[in-house]
Amino acid sequence: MFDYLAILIYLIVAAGFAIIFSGAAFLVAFRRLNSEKTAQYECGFDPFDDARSKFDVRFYLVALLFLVMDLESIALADIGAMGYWVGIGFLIILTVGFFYEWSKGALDWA
Amino acid sequence: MRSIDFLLVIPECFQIVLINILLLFAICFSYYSTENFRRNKLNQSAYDPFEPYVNSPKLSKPNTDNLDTHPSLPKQAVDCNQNQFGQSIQQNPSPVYSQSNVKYSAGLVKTQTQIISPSYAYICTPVTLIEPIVKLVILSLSCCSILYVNSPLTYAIGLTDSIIWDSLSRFMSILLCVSASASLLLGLAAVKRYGRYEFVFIIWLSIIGMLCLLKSYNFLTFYLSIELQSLSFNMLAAMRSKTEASAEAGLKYFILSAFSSAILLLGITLIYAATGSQSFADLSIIINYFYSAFDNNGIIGPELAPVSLAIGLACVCVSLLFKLAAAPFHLWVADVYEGSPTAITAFFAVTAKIAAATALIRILELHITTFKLLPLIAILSLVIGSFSAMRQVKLKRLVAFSGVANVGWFLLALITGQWDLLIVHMVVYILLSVCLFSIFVLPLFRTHPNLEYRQRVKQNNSEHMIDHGTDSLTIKYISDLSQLNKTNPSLALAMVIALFSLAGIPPFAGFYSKYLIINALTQTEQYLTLSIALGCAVLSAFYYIRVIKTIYFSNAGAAYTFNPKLLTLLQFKQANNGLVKEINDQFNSTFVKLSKANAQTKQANNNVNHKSVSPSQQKFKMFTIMPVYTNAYICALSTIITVLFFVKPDYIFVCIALSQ
Repeated sequence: MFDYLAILIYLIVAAGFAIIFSGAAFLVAFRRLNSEKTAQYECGFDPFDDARSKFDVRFYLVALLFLVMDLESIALADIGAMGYWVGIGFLIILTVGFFYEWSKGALDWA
Repeated sequence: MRSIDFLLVIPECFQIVLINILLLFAICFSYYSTENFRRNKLNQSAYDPFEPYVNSPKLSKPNTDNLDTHPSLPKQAVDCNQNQFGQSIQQNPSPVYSQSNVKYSAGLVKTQTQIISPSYAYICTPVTLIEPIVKLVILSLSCCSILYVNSPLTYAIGLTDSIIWDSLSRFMSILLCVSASASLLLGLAAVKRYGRYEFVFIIWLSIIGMLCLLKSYNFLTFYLSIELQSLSFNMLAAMRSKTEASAEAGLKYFILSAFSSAILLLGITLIYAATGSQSFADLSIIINYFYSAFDNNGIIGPELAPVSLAIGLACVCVSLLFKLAAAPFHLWVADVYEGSPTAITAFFAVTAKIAAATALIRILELHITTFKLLPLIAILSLVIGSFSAMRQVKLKRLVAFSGVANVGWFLLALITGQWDLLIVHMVVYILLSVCLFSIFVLPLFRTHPNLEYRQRVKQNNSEHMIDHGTDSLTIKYISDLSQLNKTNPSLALAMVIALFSLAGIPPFAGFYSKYLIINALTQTEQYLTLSIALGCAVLSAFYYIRVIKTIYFSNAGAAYTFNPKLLTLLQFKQANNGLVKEINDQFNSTFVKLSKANAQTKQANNNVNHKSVSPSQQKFKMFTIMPVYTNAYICALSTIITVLFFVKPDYIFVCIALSQ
């Protein structure tokens, strides 16, 4: 049974964290509501608008760039002696791409 | 992966390193001379071939009774929207170019922000940056081809079974590098008008993708290379996104290539499910095991092969046939070739087929006997290509459909089991495409200032009613080529040689490659396929020779010419000799004055242009900084090689030997 002791400790610590954070906020914080705070949140879009509203294409650009850089951050994980240099190579190539996108102003909005 | 494996991929690594260095160079140096760069002027000059006429001082108005109007057309009142020769000036809405606000961004690099208007959202780059980069790309591609020629290996499989290097890879890599550099060189004059340097890097990336595809021996490498090539091609087709045609072509190509990539993935998944391996080597062993024709004890045979293997292979082949534009999957070629900018179409026509055909050879050499539908696809390509091409009025669509028919010939060569004939036919086809496109990318000049006269000429030349609101910069319709023998006889001769060779007329190389394929078909006794192929060869000769008829024998006049110095038609010249001479002299003098006046603003251009160009040709610098000379040299070279093929048939056997 003591094989699972680690899981019990993990459960208690996680629950403790959650309770402490939420409880402290509940006890200590004050609430002064206005219409903006009680409104529904939809990532900045109007929640009562048409579901197919127009949105800027720069969201798409940010998503693409995030995808590539996310894969890069995973590829930088430790894979071994050869993997290190593969990761470095990937990093260098993507850094050139990053320099390009920065200088072209793709990051200026978001 | 051992370090010795890098020997196989040194050229690609070299290219990747160079791409990065040149991209950094392009970014850093694209900010320093934007002050001299006026986008308005570029737009105006790019879209109006006679823009210098607009600013020229008013000449004494000549007697335009005979010159301006066809006798049957009504006289036009002088409009304020026309210049002194009755040309209607196309006023393009100039894009909003507000004051650039220089702003420092984290101290790294100065970014210039501007009000982003819908016309363009990217920061302008100077035109002078594009030409040296393209030349460097061509140089690096030639160095790569030299690396491939002198490679110390003859046969190698490396990088944990993902890359193969044999003579097929070697020959196709050399062919790809050479043809890509030729198409880049042709399009150099045209792409300078695009005003952006990124497309060079996209072309370069697609070439790297294709080079990796030629070497791939693993489905993963295969798929990644195809994706790199496809995505780059999608971007290239939509390069001039402000034009409707280019955006439409890019959209169509994107949808079709995404669809074919999805089918490819399905095929790869099915093959992996059936065989448990991604490598082509294992695949060849397993297919030989299942489909071996010599095993008659009934224990193994095609009945016991998993169905998923057959379907997977079929899906992979279908995807490659999409890329190759074979018949039931050819519908994208016409629209994409027509809508893309002509320099990019040249690049597509010349390089895309090499990679796809090589990949098809690698997949098909494993199981050619099991793909029983291949003769059907070949026949369908031939028939559909021939019949569709007969109805085309636009040149690029004609080239697209003739490409479909030639793909039919490639597949016929595959059916016979002799890959060499495919390679021979492909080399000939690439040479001819280079020759034809070296003529198609040339900018078009009007022979007559009156738009209605030109429309009348075009209607007389073609059987269809064509409504032209404006004139395009390069050739669009076949009838634009009319009377090329009078305006530019050497180009007409080159086109005749190229078209005869494509049609398969004996003294030229096209006949020889088709003859070899027909010979092989008779040896393998596929008489039905052979007879259909011969019929389609005859049919395709028709539409090639119709172009020649338009060039030489159309007598309704010429609306366009490639010759910038040719102001009027031959018959007008004879009638108004003195008048035309006076106009010519006045134009030449204004050109010289204008070129001197513009010398300061075009300092950068002048520094780059080392060829000695006559003053009257300096005005057309926007189109032809590498003037028609280069295209003419390439054209002449390719026609000479097509003729030489027959004179020295040993060249063909060199191709065959290299591809072994």
